[in-house]
Amino acid sequence: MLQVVTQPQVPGKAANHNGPIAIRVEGLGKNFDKIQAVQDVSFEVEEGQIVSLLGPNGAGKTTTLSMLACLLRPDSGDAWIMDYSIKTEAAAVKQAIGVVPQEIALYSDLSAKENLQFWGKMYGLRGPKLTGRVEEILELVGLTERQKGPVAKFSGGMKRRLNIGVALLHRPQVLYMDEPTVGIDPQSRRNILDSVKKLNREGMTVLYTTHYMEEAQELSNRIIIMDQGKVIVQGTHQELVKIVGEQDRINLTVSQVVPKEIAERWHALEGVNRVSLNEDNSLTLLVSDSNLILPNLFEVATGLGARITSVDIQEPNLEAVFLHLTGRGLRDS
Amino acid sequence: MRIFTLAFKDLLQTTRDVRTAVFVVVMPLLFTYFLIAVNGGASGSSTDSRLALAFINHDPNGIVSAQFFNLLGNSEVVRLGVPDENAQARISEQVRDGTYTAAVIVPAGYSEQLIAGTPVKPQVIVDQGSESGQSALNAIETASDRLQGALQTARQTTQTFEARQPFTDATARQNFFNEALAAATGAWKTPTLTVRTEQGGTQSTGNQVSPATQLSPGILVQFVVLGLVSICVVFFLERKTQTLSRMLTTPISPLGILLGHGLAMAGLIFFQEILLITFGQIAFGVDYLRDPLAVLLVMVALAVWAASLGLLIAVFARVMEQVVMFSLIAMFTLSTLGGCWFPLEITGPVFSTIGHLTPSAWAMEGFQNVIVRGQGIGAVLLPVGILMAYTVVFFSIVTWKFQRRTSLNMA
Repeated sequence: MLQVVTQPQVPGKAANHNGPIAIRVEGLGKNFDKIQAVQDVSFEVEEGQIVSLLGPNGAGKTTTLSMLACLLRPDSGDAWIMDYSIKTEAAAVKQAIGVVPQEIALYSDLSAKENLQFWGKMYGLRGPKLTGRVEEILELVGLTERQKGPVAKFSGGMKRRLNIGVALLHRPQVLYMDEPTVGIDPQSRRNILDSVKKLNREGMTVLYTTHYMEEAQELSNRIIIMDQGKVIVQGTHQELVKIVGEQDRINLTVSQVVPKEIAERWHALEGVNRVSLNEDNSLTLLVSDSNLILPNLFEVATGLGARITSVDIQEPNLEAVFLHLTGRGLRDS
Repeated sequence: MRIFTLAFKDLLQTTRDVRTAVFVVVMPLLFTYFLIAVNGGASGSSTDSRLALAFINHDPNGIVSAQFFNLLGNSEVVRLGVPDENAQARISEQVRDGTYTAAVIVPAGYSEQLIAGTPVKPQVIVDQGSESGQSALNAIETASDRLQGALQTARQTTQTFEARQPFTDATARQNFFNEALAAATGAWKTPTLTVRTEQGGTQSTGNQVSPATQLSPGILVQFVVLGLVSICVVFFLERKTQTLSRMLTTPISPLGILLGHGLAMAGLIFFQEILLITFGQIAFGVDYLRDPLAVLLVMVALAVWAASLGLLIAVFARVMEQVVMFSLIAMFTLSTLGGCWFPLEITGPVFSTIGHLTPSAWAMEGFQNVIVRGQGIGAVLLPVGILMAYTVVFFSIVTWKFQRRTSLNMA
């Protein structure tokens, strides 16, 4: 069920559910000095779902995840992971979750096996159970052959895989993944996305933060879009794109003219619903029908002595949803 | 259990860092060896760590003064030196500058007057404000009391003997008296009861300390700070990367994390202490084994305090270079003010007072109370207590800062 959030949000009414709830967040807030990093965030995640927190850098995704991982104490609200409160039952929450941080959180001077053994012990594994689990994870992340090598000599993709493996050691019920594909090659990215799907097929609940809409679209049962510390909308992919209706998204690059001037002229055209100026001086338009409007755009540009150097037309997607709701592009925020 | 896991991991990482071998083993051993050698303490001449006592005898042929010399010579606290005539003229100055802890000047006619029953006391020059001066004075008074007792015994014995069988002449009487006095004095070599006075005062000495007894513990105290660098880096890097964040998502508490890192630091420092104390004992005869339990107490207190300092450095440092810089600043400041390189007493009262505000001065005090002043476990309790108090203060600051850095609720 689609829900476009308007402030103030009603706690506990984030979505309708059919299955048991793995994560329930109610009115979560966090301030850093005078900055409101997260404001009144509420949502729920059913067991066995993959839910993505999608938003630009600084949207509050990582802060939200940090509170759900008991790393930060919320200033307001509360959340329950497998019915354990993050405020009053942190130890139980920590046992229920696995966290894959955004950065590589491994000891580079230790080997893959030593890292897994250490983290396994920190999660309370001992003896044969630990040994067996370490071997399973090494197999799972494809590092059995390299288990004795220092992590410092691993490739970026190998580190990423081991980084995920550590979070799975104690068989958590809920897995948090904080932008796990940032800065890696396409092949490793593909491997990670496939791993997330595989884990989910095995019943794991995954809360995944990203600013890549393609990842959110591919992986998620539901998507929660955040901006400036708030949840601005949440729902399934299909539900979200309906917000922008049948609008197309056109990215244009122009030269020999002040972009602001042409933006104003284009916005005045019939069929152009929104025009936004990007940081690289390109322009993004939401239009009713790109086929009809394109000749008019060229005509206006020519009239201003401008030259359109590139045109990119996209059908409705999450980027368009974000643009529609915030007036900014996901990548430009 | 997780605390030990974390400590073991830290030590595993530390042993793989080449800085550990340099800062914990190589540099302190080399510094200890070369500094003691340069200061003339490598030949083993410093094995007698008793306090130097000048004995100036203006009654050279007296039987009583000779026995006084013997009694003092048997002391475990002082070692006798007989200055030449030039030195005798400057004896007050030599006590002040630390050549001697104290001086005993036996006046002319001392033996004759005592035998005759006339009270006469030797002159003593000593700084009573210093703990070693007090120790030396105690030793002198003990010897003097024993001499008085022996004299009394010899007198009584002679009179008793004379009552039963008169002496043939005065010489025979004098010989009998001399033998009785020698026998009574000699009996003090194996007293039936030995009382050792242990003092826990704040005045330290050291101005009579041999190079080895000063520099061996001095380098040890100095290098516990530098030895922390590599393990501080481990904790610092953990803080700067997301490994600390990841650790905080496991069931270990934030306090447990601090204790785990602290345990590793204390363990590493304790290993370094064992190494340097063994080296000092074997290579330079520094008598750490005089009271092993007392030395062990100081070692543990020093290691725990150093660990709290290491945590403090690791928590406050913002960049890697600051870890090394803070360690070096701490090392040089604490070494200089704490009397690691030279005895605080030769620096004057102001410097000495300031010095005693540092934990390093108390660590030195603890070690030297045993190896220099020959005192026991009672004399290290105050230094150990002060080191532990500093540990509590440092650890409280660390906990506060760690909480702020991680925005965590430490409860």
